[in-house]
Amino acid sequence: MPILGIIASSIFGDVGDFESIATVSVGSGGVSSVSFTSIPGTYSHLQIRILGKSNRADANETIGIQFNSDTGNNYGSHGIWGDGGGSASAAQLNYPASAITLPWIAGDSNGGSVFGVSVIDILDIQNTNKYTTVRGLTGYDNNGSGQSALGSGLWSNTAAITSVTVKPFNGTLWKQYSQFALYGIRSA
Amino acid sequence: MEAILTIRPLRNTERIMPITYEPIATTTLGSTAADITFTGISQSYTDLVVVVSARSTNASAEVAGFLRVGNGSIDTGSNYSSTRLLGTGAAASSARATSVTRVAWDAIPANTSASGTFCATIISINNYSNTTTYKTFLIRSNEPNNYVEATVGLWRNTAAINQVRILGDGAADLAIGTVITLYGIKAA
Repeated sequence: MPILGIIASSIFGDVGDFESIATVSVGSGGVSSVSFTSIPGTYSHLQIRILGKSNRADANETIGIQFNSDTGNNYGSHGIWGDGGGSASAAQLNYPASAITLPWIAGDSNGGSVFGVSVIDILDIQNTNKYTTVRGLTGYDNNGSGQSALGSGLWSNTAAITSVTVKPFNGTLWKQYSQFALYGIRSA
Repeated sequence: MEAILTIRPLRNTERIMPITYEPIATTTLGSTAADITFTGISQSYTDLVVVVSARSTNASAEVAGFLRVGNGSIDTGSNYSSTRLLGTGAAASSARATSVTRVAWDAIPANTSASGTFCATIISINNYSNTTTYKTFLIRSNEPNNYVEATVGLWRNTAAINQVRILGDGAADLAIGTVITLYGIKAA
């Protein structure tokens, strides 16, 4: 009997170094937050990829990120962003805060089909000698309004990351059709 | 309601995980071209990523790069818009484009730029296959002579994307040596 390779068997391919860990698609009624728990210790870095919109009655929503269920004021953030109006803005955001706060994803005053997007990188998550640092590229566009933003965040804790919670910092729900995908990146 | 996902990697279930971040197609220009188009894109991924290393044949100055997408055919209508955050090394600014025929980013180096200089641009198209939301693009681009930029673009259409086109400025082609790769990212 011929022995099929993994690829030839068409079932699973080779193991990669950028791996899908889990994905949440928000259903009817929305969710207050999305938590990825029991993240394996085999990854060095994480990436969260978001298509999202909150129920905040505003054009802008801030992405809130917490680690290991820590809801204390142990987080800090900075951002630079532009709303298309000519000038750019930069600020320290919500320091100290109960979450990393990354500007700006879509709030509910945007049209029904307009969602924001974000790609968030969380680096060196197993290192217990460093505070955890995050970077995000986030924004939305609504044909005449919008935001394009770069954000950074700090969790003042040296613990390895075992869980990540993503929530709207101002609104109370992520709306239906939002999607959150968590990926793990291995080291050599 | 909160969505909590406890992660049990396939790796721990004695199955081999598939490759998550897959190259779909790469085009390397051996002669100049007005654009590069990827068609027939599989809907089996969660996100698309386009990596652009491009240079223009324009002799006088750098030119904008452009993105168009479509389903079945490339949409050339005025169905795009964008919000941009731009730094020149001297100042940061923001600009907007409304109801335009393509999403622009700054910039692609001119043919008069130092030999070997190409833009470094990464375009994320999150949840490209859903048929509920408009499609939003995240574009991070560096033009090595003048610009660093983050752009958020919108295609006002809920159709799934199965075609992606990268264009140079209409007055000049993409130069020899331009390399564009389309990747697909799968979700758990």
